Amino acid sequence: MNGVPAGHTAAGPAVPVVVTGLGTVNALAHSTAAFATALRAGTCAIGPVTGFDATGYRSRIAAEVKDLAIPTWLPSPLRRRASRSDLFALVAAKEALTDSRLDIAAAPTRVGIVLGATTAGMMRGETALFERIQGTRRRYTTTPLLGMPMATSADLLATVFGCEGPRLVLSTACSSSATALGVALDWIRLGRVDAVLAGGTESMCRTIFAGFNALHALALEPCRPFDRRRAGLSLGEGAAVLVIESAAHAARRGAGTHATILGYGMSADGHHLTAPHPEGVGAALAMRRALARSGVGPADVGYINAHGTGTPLNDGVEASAIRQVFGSAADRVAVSSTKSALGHTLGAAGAIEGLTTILALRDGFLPPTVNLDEPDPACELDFVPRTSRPAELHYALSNSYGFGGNNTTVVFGRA
Amino acid sequence: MTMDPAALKLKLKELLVSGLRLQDTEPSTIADDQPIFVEGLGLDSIDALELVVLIEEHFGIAIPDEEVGKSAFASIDALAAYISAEQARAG
Amino acid sequence: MRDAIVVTGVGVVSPLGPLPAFWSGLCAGTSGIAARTPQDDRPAAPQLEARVRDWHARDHIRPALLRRMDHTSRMVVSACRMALTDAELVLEGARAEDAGIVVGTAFGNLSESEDFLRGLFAKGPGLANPLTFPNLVMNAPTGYVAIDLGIRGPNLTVVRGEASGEAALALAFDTIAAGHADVLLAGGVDELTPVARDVYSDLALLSPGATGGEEWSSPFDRGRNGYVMGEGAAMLVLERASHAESRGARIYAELAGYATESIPASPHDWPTVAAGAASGRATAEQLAALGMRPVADRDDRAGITLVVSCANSTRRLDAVEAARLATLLGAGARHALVTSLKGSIGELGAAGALGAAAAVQAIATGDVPRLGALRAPDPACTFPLATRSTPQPPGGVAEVLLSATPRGGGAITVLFRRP
Repeated sequence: MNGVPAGHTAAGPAVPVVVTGLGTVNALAHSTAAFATALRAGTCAIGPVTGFDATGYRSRIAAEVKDLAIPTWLPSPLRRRASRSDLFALVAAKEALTDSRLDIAAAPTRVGIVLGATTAGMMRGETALFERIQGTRRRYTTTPLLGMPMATSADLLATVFGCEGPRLVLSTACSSSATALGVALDWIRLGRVDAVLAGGTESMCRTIFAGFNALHALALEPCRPFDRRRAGLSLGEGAAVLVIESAAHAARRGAGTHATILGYGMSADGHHLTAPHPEGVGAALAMRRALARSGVGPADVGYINAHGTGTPLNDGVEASAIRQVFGSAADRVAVSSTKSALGHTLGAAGAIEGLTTILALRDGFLPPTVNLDEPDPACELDFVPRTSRPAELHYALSNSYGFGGNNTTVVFGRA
Repeated sequence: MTMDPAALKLKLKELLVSGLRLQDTEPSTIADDQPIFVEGLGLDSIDALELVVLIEEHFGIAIPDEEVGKSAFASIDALAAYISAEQARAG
Repeated sequence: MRDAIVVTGVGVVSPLGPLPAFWSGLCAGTSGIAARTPQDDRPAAPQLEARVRDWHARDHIRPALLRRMDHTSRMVVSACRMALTDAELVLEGARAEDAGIVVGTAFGNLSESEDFLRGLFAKGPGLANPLTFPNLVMNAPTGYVAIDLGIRGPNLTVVRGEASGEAALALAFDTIAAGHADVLLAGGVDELTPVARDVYSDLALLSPGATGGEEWSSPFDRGRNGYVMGEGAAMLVLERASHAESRGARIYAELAGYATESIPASPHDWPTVAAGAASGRATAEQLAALGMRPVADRDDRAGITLVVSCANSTRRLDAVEAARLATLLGAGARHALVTSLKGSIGELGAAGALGAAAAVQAIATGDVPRLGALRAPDPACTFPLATRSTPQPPGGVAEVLLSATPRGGGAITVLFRRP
């Protein structure tokens, strides 16, 4: 039976929670296994935009999901209406569920859904919206706009997979799906559910591409996080879904676990809508809170998957925040940005990079910061330039910082 | 096709107020030689980017990089001079 | 000892005005719906809307920040400031560092998104507006609140269509319960836009809909024919009871928790009436687990159960709600009063936030929002409705349920009760 027990028990690290399923679709790969291989290989998927006509844009590159087969297991009316980002989420969720072997039908009200997103069905909606604004047609179909409200992504997953527990969509820009993973953790610890499909999805659209270009935030070449010559970010798209489950529930059904999820911390900079706080106050707060809530100390952390967008401002501030929180332990933690490989996937970034962090823990390797040719001497951390390395990791962090100065850090542990 | 300097400066002030949403500022109260990007008007880097777009849209003149931008945006006088010079070059 | 989560402040920007006028207007069944100013309309476009009034952003927000803010952000920041003033809570120092905010919205800043798109397609990507773009993220309002108030705690924005307000309250509850913060501002916002009106009109959801009859908004009315769009924002100050008591705060009500129920539905549509009727028991069980006594056992002298329903004057949703609430309230319906705000404030995704503001006022004052536009109740409503002739309940209002049944079938029911 759902419901919080009478008496509000604060969640604590005492209730172990694990990750039993992984699924992803992104510019590097359409499955987790292929993704892990591509990460190790240091492949970069950022290239010229092909999904729409990029003439007239200042920067014309991105990391796009290409040639994704539309799943035949999706019932046809839903297939018609599903937006591109819905499709990513469905494919990723299917992989994660298959991987976890979670039997939702056994207790459907005990399985919840939390997703992070920012653009939802905007790609298909843009043209339709523009036609309406201009009044260029006598009649308008509403189908292209049905997938626009991002709440429908969670509803779609609930319908397709038969989840009857709570569902939620978070939209906090680039930290959306990191926070989604955290909310999943809270729900399990509060006793609301036993398992959650938690993740994020994002698809390229002209609004986002034009907006970031207008801010001069996009690099003209594939991004170079933490590089001395870094000149901006590269956009990406895709989705990741994790099956997050109470350890007890996973153990009872004999599920394999990829990693543990220990805690998360959130903060706001309260500084500016697009620029990070120059002293990384929010970033440091999020990391400190995450570590405190997880019972993990900086010395225990072997790897940080950075937000690392490649903008001049973010990377310096993030490196400084890591130094503030880790002190001398910063010399012994590896930090890399996988946005160098698959771009900044905005609302999906927290989930895709959380999944990346889990792969690092599970498979014992450090994903590299691709395109990092000349590490910025001002940043002074081990950024795993260009080539992945084996590493025995026990705990790892994933940082995600969004517009509005919205920061989330998630702490994972080896299974 | 160049505008009369006084008219150009007034138009620039109006553009600043409307384009950057300075609702409480009367265009005529902006002094010609007043720094635009310092305390007085409280503008930031996004305002600078917006101004570049507005200049291009209304005058057809591009500001090629940040360095040029910094000197052109120093004041209304500087901006008007930059625009007039660019228009003369093109015309 | 249980450390409850309580409401200590409320701030409202609404078609009835700020909090005092909002509440007295709701109790009187006053409508904030009026004729709008037509602008480049398509033929046969609806003429009514519920637009916010008696509010000036400049009364609440400093000019330097104000000029960049979009309409939804201005409403949220204003409502937050009013809520904090109402709570007599000053956020500074450590309190500011830990305090956070949760906002629910269905469409966020849709009006500036329209402007941005218009510019993009008309003028090309080279002239896209950098000033507007940052405001297009759904979390721009909470970002501005953090900047304005200097709060560095959790900063959350949720999107759940017509249940966005309830979803924000639910997440705020869980965020405090999980120990991320002791103080959270929680609520929601949505604005009016021509494009959304066109889309909903094409979906035949707006009054007068396909009937071409009178244009009006009257939830649960036998003659209802669609909804009228509205806008507004409401923010509550939520605190741990220990925190509120330690500073001698006035406590309006307790946010006791929430229930969720998945009703079979197409992802883009409401459940059927039959599905609605078959639902409700799971919600009732969860509410019982939160300590809510069965309504059937209630004694009116101890206070009634008020239900603020999402019913929005559409043929479909109101029928689904009527069926669902009948099951949920069961034999105890006679000790309940069911109402909706949408005859007064129109329909907006974050209506649940305004519903929450009304809920705590109902508990604090003992009076109820009334269905002022109601002419003839739908016979499917087998429970008492709060109408113009409904007197103030003699025992006041002991608890309030916010009932949200959004498209896609993910129902949320939020429970407030006397502190």
